[in-house]
Amino acid sequence: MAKVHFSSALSQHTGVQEITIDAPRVRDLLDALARRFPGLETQLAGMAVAIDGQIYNDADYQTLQADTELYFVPRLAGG
Amino acid sequence: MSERSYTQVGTRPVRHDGLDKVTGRANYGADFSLPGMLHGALVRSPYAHARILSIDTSAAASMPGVKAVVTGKDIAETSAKLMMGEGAIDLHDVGDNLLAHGKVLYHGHPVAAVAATSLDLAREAASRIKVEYERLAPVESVDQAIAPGAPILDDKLVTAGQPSSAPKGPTNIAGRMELRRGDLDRGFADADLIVEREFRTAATHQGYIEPHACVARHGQDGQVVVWCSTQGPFAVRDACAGILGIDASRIKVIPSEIGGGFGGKISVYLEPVAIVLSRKSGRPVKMVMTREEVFRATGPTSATKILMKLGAKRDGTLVAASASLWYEAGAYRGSPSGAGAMCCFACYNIPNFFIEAYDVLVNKPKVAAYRAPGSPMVSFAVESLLDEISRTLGFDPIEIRLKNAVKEGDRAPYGPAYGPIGFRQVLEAAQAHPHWHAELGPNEGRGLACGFWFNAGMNSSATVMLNSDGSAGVITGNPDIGGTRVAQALMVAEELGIPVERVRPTVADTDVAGYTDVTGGSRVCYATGAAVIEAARDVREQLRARAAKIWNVPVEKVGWKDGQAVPQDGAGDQKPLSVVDIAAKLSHTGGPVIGRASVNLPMAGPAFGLHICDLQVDKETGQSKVLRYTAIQDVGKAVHPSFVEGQMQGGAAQGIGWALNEEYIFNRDGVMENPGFLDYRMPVASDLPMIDTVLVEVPNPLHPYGVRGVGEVPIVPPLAAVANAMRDATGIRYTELPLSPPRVLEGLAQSD
Amino acid sequence: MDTIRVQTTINGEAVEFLCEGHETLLTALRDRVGLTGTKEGCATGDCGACSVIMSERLVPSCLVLAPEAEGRTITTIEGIANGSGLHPLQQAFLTHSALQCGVCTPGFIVAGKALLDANPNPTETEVRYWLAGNLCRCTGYDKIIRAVLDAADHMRRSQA
Repeated sequence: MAKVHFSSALSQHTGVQEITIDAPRVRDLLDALARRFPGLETQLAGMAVAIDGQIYNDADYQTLQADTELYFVPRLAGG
Repeated sequence: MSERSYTQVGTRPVRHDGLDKVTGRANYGADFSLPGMLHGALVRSPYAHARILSIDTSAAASMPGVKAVVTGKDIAETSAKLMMGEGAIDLHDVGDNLLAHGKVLYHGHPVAAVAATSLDLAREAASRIKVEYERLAPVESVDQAIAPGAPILDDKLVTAGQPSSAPKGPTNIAGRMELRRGDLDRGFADADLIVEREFRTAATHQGYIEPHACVARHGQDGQVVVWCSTQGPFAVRDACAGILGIDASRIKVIPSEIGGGFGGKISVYLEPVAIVLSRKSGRPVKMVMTREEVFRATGPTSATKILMKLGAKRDGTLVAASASLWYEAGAYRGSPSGAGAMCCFACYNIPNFFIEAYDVLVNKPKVAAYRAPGSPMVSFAVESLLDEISRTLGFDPIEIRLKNAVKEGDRAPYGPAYGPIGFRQVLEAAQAHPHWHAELGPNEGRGLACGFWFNAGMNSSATVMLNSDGSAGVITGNPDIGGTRVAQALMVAEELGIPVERVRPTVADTDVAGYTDVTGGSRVCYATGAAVIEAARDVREQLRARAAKIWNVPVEKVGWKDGQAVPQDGAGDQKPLSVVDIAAKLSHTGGPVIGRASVNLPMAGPAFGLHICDLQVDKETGQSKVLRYTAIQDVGKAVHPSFVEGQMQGGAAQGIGWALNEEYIFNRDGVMENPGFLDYRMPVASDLPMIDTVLVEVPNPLHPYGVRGVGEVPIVPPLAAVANAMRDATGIRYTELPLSPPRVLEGLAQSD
Repeated sequence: MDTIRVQTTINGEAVEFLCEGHETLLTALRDRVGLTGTKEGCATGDCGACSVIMSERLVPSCLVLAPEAEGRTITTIEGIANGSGLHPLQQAFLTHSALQCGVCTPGFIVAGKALLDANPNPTETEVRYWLAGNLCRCTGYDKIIRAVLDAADHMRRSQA
């Protein structure tokens, strides 16, 4: 089970600020979110994923634990 | 993370590429030539905003010695995207920026290019290309761009990030982002003190001393070689491949030594054009920018308008904050407004906030990343407001920051909790520093400010080879801007237990190195370093296996201590084998030993910095002098402390320039009036004192040695540190940068 | 335009090159003579990356016309080292880590040599003002100034 937090901008698309999803990996969780919230996929495209505080640019196959906390953040690289 | 003692990491050896650089032997972008080479020159728009009606290249093409002429028609518009760094880089925009299709969007926007047998000839030919324009009114500021009825740069632009209920229609607002927490109105209602101001910062350039340069050769067989000055040879390769529609495997990019980048040499401005000129002419083509071209047509960072409001209780606790961030993107979308939103309150625990950030198109060159992109401007605002709050409430500036400082487990404004971070330690180091307690003289003021930046992870590869004499080599694809070669050599030396002088670090081209993301984002010592360490450990594991073979025991019986294979219980009576011993027997024990690793790391934990600035202000001339400067930063682990100090000092100097003198000055037609180093005034040696540094080390658990990125944070605190020092010296709160003499005098006059 | 033949002495050696009348000494050094250690940062005399010593005078070679080199002696970064040994300035830049990207380093070393030839015992302030014509964007100048002062100290001691 991963607890997904939505920023105020994303929660305008989902209607909720957080949701708990049972998924083994980030890719599975994203698919579940796409089914649950049509249109959310476009908003999430290209975003990085913070998994228990660690921010991954390419997170699709990261595994999720029972109590993982997940945020979506803009991808950043710096200069 | 347990305290580990190092034998070589943390020392200060001479860098391996140092000799070449102090003798003039090192080859930078413009130092390369090929036989039969042509020289390229660009035709640039004389208008900030116009439609291209026609381009007549016939006069140029017919000149003897002119071998190729290209326009936007020769580089097809592409919808390809490059997944790199800040998500999907829209190669359509990059391609249109190389050679305009249809519209020119800034003064200096290239519309055509010529390759000829000499540079003089190429420039002469370029001047004979006739372009007909239909002039359009330019927008030159955020205010102009969002005004009703404003000229529109791209009528197909849709604002990204808007709620779907937002009105559609022509706009110059490319994007909007918001972050929110708690109840803003309740928060401000609870506040005993509210401060609110509008801040403005000008566009500033990265200011690298080496202009962009490349040589490209497109063979008749379709194979392409590019030599160029870049922060990322793979970024260049993949951008060229995407823009030109060819396989990455047909392009080899050889990175030259790079004369500064700071984020400005990640994108491509010349290379695809040089490749097409080479294809058309059948000869290699060299293109080197002049300094004027660098200013007019490569990315500065955004000019900004920031409205910010902070609310605090009498006891110094911050209770509410709001910010409206307006960032100029230049001619195409992509300012760091989102990063600014994530950074602006990242240092402090604020229970209620609302931030909105806008990415706005204007008729100026497309902005590019510049060292902690987006963060210095918001830090200027928040640290100035904190200075006001601490003065009004009678708090020591460090005490009020300690009271509100984030620590491990606190939530960042963008959501996730912080891991181990060193902000508190940095503040305490400042409290203990003699600079903070030193006396000030007349007309002198002291300012303090903090700064925050993320540190990128991303993709890196490394190869470590062992030579039969026990020396080693390490290969990566990261151009060495600030001493990363020697840092990598130190890591290999540490892991293998051999002297750092016996490790040869190489920056290789895209055929030889494994894929690596750019040198930038404060990531090389962290991410590429992690790959280097893993590759070196791979070598070590192979050496254990070789020792096992030599001793004829199972590998589990072979330990490794102090650079030697040592027998463990049951291994019999063996003398330890050093790397040199085992290397001598590589051929007998299985052949060459090559260690390799590739990683895609999450972001390293953020870095925090604090700068203290003493400024002396001449109230007659408005000129100010930095008398003393101290930079304190959590660096995780300093692999080569001299180069870590160097990053802090260099970033501080750039920030001081941004605060005191640097700005792009445009006239009403959108033409930059100061495209040279005389009038774009960067700090020189006589402007600055020695810059003292304090390296705080709170290890980053994501790196084997605790390395945290260091390169970018140092540019973040200086803007407010200088502005707060100015406030201390003059009594005036300046909210617009730079604090050049005319602006300082104006403020002094108004306060009289 | 007619080509001009220039005969000059560069780093102690007689050198002859052809150039056009409007070419700068900087482009002649880099493109005609093949000495690419001297760099172009701005071509307007504002950054010091093109610093060379001509007839014992520190000059920005981007503001010197190539034909002016006729009959003169020129020292570039390639001529600073003493045979196989480094000049104390070069050594000091290495030990003080006074370079990051290194592109400004040739200009600083040439300018530093001109300083120490003229004033073997400069104060920190004198060093900073002498070198104010050389831009560095990477280092903030701190380690460069330390390196120059250290080299000056070393040179005075080895002459004592």
